Amino acid sequence: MYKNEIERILEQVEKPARYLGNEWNSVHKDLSSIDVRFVFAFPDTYEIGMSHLGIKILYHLLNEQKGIYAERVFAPWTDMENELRKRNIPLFSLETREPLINFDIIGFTLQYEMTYTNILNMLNMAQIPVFSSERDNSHPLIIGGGPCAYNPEPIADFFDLFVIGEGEEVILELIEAYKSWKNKQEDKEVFLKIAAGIKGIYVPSFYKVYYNSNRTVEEIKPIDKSVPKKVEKRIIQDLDNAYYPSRFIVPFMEVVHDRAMLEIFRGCTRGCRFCQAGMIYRPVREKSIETLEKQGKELMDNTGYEEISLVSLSSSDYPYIEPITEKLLEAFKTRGVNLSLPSLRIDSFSLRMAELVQEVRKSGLTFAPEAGTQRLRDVINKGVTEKDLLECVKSAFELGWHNIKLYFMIGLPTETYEDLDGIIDLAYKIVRIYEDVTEAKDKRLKLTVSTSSFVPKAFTPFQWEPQFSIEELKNRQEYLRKRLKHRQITYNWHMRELSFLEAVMAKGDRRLSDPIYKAWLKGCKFDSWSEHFKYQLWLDAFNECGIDPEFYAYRKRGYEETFPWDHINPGISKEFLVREHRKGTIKAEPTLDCRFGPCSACGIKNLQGGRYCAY
Amino acid sequence: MLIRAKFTKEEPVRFISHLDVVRVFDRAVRRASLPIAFSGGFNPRPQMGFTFPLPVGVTSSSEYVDIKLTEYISPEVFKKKLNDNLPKGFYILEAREVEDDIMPLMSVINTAVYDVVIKTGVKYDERTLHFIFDNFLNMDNIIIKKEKKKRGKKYSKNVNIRPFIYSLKILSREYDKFILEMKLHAARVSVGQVIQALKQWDDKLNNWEMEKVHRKGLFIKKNSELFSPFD
Repeated sequence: MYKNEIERILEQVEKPARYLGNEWNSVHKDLSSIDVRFVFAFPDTYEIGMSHLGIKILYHLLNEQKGIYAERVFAPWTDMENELRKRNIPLFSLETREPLINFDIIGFTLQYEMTYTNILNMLNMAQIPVFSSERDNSHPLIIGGGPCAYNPEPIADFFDLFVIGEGEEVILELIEAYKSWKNKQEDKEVFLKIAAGIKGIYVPSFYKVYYNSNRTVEEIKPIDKSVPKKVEKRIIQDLDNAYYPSRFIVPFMEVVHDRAMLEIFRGCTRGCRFCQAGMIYRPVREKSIETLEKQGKELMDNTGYEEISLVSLSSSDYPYIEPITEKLLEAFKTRGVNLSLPSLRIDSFSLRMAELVQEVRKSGLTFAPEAGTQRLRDVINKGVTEKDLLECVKSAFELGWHNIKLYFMIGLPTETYEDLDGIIDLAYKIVRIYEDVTEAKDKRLKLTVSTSSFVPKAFTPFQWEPQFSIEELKNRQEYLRKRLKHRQITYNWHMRELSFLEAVMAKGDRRLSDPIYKAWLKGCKFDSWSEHFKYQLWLDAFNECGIDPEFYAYRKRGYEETFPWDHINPGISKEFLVREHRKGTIKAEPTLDCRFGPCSACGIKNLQGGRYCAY
Repeated sequence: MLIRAKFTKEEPVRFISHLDVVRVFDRAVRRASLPIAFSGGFNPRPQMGFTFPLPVGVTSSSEYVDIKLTEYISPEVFKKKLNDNLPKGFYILEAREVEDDIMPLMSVINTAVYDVVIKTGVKYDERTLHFIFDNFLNMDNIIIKKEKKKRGKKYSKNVNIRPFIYSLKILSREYDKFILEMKLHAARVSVGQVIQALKQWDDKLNNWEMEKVHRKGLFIKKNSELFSPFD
């Protein structure tokens, strides 16, 4: 048995607490009464995976069912991988240290495109063939879900099926179907047929892709009449009554988000045109204040965390954010618990909220104006004005904050150097406001300006847009770097090459499975970790496969083009996205949030009978 | 009120670091709804004082912690409530009320006793082993290189660890393994450093491997007599 050897290995690796599996609230079950063994696989480190809310919800949901046991596995860091491979020990689950190959189902979280090589690496470490066509009944079922499942085509060849949309209901339906199929000992094909009949399940091997001579997709066709032409995403109708765990696992080691997370609502209708989350997670569904109060208290009782975070795509948009914040603060007053409100908008109300939760601690405020000029902010539909931002910053300084972070995106559609000047301008205006407010007596200001590079994503109004070339992104980053040299300003930027590959994957098609496989064979893994990112190997992989990555990232696509993800239905319509694309890139006109303005006819009302759209 | 508790850190949690242990107790006392006294500041922390960090990988049946409470609670109830909320591998063996102004654990504990399982690879008889350790301890100076860091710069320093090795005793022996009891200064020398020094002194011992290290006692040494932190 490997188990003794694993103990020995843990003595030698860095951060052995990543691999223990016996944290507080981790689930350990009697295996004799288990019908289906499931393992959640997160293709990045423990610290990142354990900060992910989706896994927490589904892990506890499955474990509350009789007969199902769900465990966890994360991408082992390279030192651990070396030790395991050296001794030929297959990748194992954390809770029972069972080799992954012995599980019924392995479910990968598809959170970020640049983790794809880690998926292959984990399968390979588990001694499971990476291509679905090479697996049979004797192998676990490999499934995936999460935001990247909305365009799963680049990894279609590795997965048996994908779950599109929110998983709480469909995962139980899927496992139920799996259970009855398993008892009958039938062919894997039979199961996949059954699965494809479940709403929200996409079985890529049942679809054939036809290409035009210009390399674009001609058609994606089911190979069988019984398979749906379009796979519609799943959503939870009533979030207030939906399952939410109260016994979050409490990691031993420090993870990225080391706190209890209380989800306050799902979806966002602000409609920022670059934002995939704001499109695919519609409609907005809120939890009631009573539910939140109850869930919040239970969470703290069961975890003992010193901090709770209210989680959503935009905290200030929750209509009862102020009363719930006050209620929770009151409840935790004597318990030494901090409350955090991430994703605050830029307005005076949000600042008041920040003030409320932070009491006297003025650690830092983060704002995301995303673009430097009003014109460009209108193009991307980021409804924030310079006046909002500067007023907000001014009040923040008056209230004693010294630490401001600004997030921008560069390379946005229609961006010019004037827009970059806008970023520089804003930064210096903030420095001057600080001097005014403190009468130049205080030198504590720390202004961090971060730019990421725009990556066009599937199912956003900017999905037709090309990405700027690496060369041009470099010019723009340099332009900012040279001009943001100031004692109190720090400028950070993202790896351009990584953003380029992200764009390739985000808008890629099934033909990318080969270069992904090749890149992994060449040694690519942990691509989003700068110390492991090997851009040249990726280029070599594309080259050997005869695939031009620029075709995917740099091509302006026409409205008539069939996209590789057109057979997935996220609920919002292509007509809406076209309208928004035109409105933004041609007219630079904003669209109001439908919670405050007219219905923007995004199409979500037609999803599953339209019962869910409250606005 | 101040409670001093003795606890174990066994096999399942031997890989978690000292900082993690502090966090485990922080969260366990909150879950247990004990009337803990919090530190001031913006990140209130329960007021707790631990002993010298146990190296990662080492088990212990003799760790101590002082926990400050805002109201009286019987040590028995304290023990039960905390045990119900500690992850497997941690267990409070004993809890006692101590004087509020008692000297902190870190400043009084100075002696640690370990059981070290050593795999020798080849057979050693008892006499040879005794001979090795007697000779080793007969030296007046045992010098090792200690890696240190100062302002981010690494440098090494020669240190004489002999004064901090109080005794080395063979507890039991089988074919190619034996258990060595080490009584050491709690902070100035580690088990690993003693083994390192042994190998440095006699390269025939280079194949020796530490299979298991267990801390079984922490004491206050006064005039060569050992007292428990509860005394």
